[in-house]
Amino acid sequence: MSHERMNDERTHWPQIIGSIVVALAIVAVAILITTAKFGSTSSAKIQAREDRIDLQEERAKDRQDALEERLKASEDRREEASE
Amino acid sequence: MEEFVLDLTNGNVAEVKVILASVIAALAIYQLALAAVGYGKLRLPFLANPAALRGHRAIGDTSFALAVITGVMCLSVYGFEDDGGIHAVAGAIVLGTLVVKTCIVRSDSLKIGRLLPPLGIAVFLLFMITWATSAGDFLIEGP
Repeated sequence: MSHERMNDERTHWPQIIGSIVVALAIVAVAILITTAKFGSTSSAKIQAREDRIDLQEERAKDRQDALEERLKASEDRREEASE
Repeated sequence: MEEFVLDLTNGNVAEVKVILASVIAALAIYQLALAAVGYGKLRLPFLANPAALRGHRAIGDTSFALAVITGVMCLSVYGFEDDGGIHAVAGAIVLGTLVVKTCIVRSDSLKIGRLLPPLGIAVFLLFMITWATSAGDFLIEGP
């Protein structure tokens, strides 16, 4: 590589990096526009629905466990009182 | 290969392909502007011709890689569909033209650099046709 070309590249480094940064910004905007057009993807929706169902089932199980514990505790108390 | 692509995109092959194609199309427009600056057709005070050409080459390499990935995804999952005639032909020609253009750019012994601007314009037009016949349709009309 000639000295002239090396010097040329050194002076133009900020411009080259700038042009690549602009390209990255263009890529980001293109991705944003296209994904906004899709909305959330079908798999993402399915995943979100499954997560919601899992959470509801977990809460229902917790409620059931708490209810059973309360029933057991009241039964124990009744047994103790009858004794 | 089809299984791999489906796994990689979590089943959303069309959506990923549309995003990649749109990114390539946006970069192609930018590449055209950079080439215009590089060849002195467009003068910008903040961007010198050699810098524009270096940027053009770096971004072109990335676009080429993205185009190959998109093409492989497209072929492995959809193949050459009957109703995708223009898309398939334009896609195949654009990749071939890109390979020729890259060979000319990389080779100093081939003294046919004057062919680069018309080849570049051809690549740009073919990219736009390929995008419009798949991603453009998909974005306007929906899946």
